Amino acid sequence: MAKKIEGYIKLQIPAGKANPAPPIGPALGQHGVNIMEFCKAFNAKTQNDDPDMKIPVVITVYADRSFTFETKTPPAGDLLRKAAGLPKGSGKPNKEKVGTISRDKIREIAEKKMPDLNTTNIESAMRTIEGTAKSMGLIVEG
Amino acid sequence: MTNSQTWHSLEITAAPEAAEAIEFALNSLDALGTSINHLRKANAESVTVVGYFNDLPDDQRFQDELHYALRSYDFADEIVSTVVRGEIENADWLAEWKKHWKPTTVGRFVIAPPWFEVDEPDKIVIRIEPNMAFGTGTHETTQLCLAEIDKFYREGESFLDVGTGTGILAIAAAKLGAEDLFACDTDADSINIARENAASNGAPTIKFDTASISEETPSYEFVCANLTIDVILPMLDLLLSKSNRMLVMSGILSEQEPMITSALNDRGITDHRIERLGEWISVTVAV
Repeated sequence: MAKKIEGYIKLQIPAGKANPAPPIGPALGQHGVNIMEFCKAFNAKTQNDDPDMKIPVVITVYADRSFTFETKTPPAGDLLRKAAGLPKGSGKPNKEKVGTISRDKIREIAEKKMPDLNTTNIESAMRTIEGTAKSMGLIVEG
Repeated sequence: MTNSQTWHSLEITAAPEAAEAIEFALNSLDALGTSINHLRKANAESVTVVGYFNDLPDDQRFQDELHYALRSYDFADEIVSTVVRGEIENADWLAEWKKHWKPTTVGRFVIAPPWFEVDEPDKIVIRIEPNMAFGTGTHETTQLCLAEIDKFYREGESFLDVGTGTGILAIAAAKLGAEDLFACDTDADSINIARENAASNGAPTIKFDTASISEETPSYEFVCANLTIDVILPMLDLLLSKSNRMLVMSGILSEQEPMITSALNDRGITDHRIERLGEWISVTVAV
């Protein structure tokens, strides 16, 4: 049944670790979304994902306060940092080279990010990801 | 978490295209999580990303990470318009969402979540746990169907609910004295929830099935089909043939009224009854 959509809330939550604390409690509670129901469903869906990664999730809230949600891929920056083995907080401005990443990894990340990059062309998705990698100070090899 | 706990937030407002870069920066700063609220209907020229922390990162580290993240995505620092630091007091968020629920009254029925105290002894209370995706029993089309059941269902009639969802319509009929009840839905999760709702509402006689109806389905005196027009039209003959006295159809938008009316006219039915609520209609046919 087509239900009236009230709007969307986008969160990033550690995989498998949703609980009523921020960001979930304050973001969802005020809109009358059943928080425990969301936490249970989100944790079930992301239990096998990397627990160090925050998973973006877009929650559709309907006028009758029921909801659905869809998980997305983490920011390209997070995927690149993980793939290149960079520690968090290594983001020193204007430092030229912080690490290396293989072209295969770039392709892998580009494939994952395709739905968010508004393209169905893998070459164009790879160019975008490679651009981000270079701007992050990563050297692309291979 | 203790009651005295507070959290800290960084609210970063920027052009919408920078949202992912800011999320990346907040992830790098080990935020507990982030949120973007598209319900506030703020102007589309900016987006506010909120990062939540146990302890705020120091300003230099924040500036460094934000700059690095923006640069990684090819944005200049100026794309960020404001940064606001805030504190969030601990609250009972689990209880918070319940405050938003109010019971819905339709004719003799009151639809309320299980925890809500209904002080109306003359009403028939239907308890529906607000669950994900399957609705809360308060959708306009559900209300339209409930109103028709309230007006036209005769005590003791057999009842068929096609596309039962939460099971609410079959539960309503059971509350009005139906004993021969069949409710089906093609969604297995929905049937599980409908079974739970039937049990918690003291309606154990409803038979459930994860299926649609077929030629083999017996006919019933009162039939409800709260579906959508694209499902109803192909099965209209089947629905009519399974209805011994009355057929109520909903899940139909006002703009689709000519489609259902013309399909009924083609079958010689012209005295059907249309009710309206919001952008929805219900169509009731006395067979």
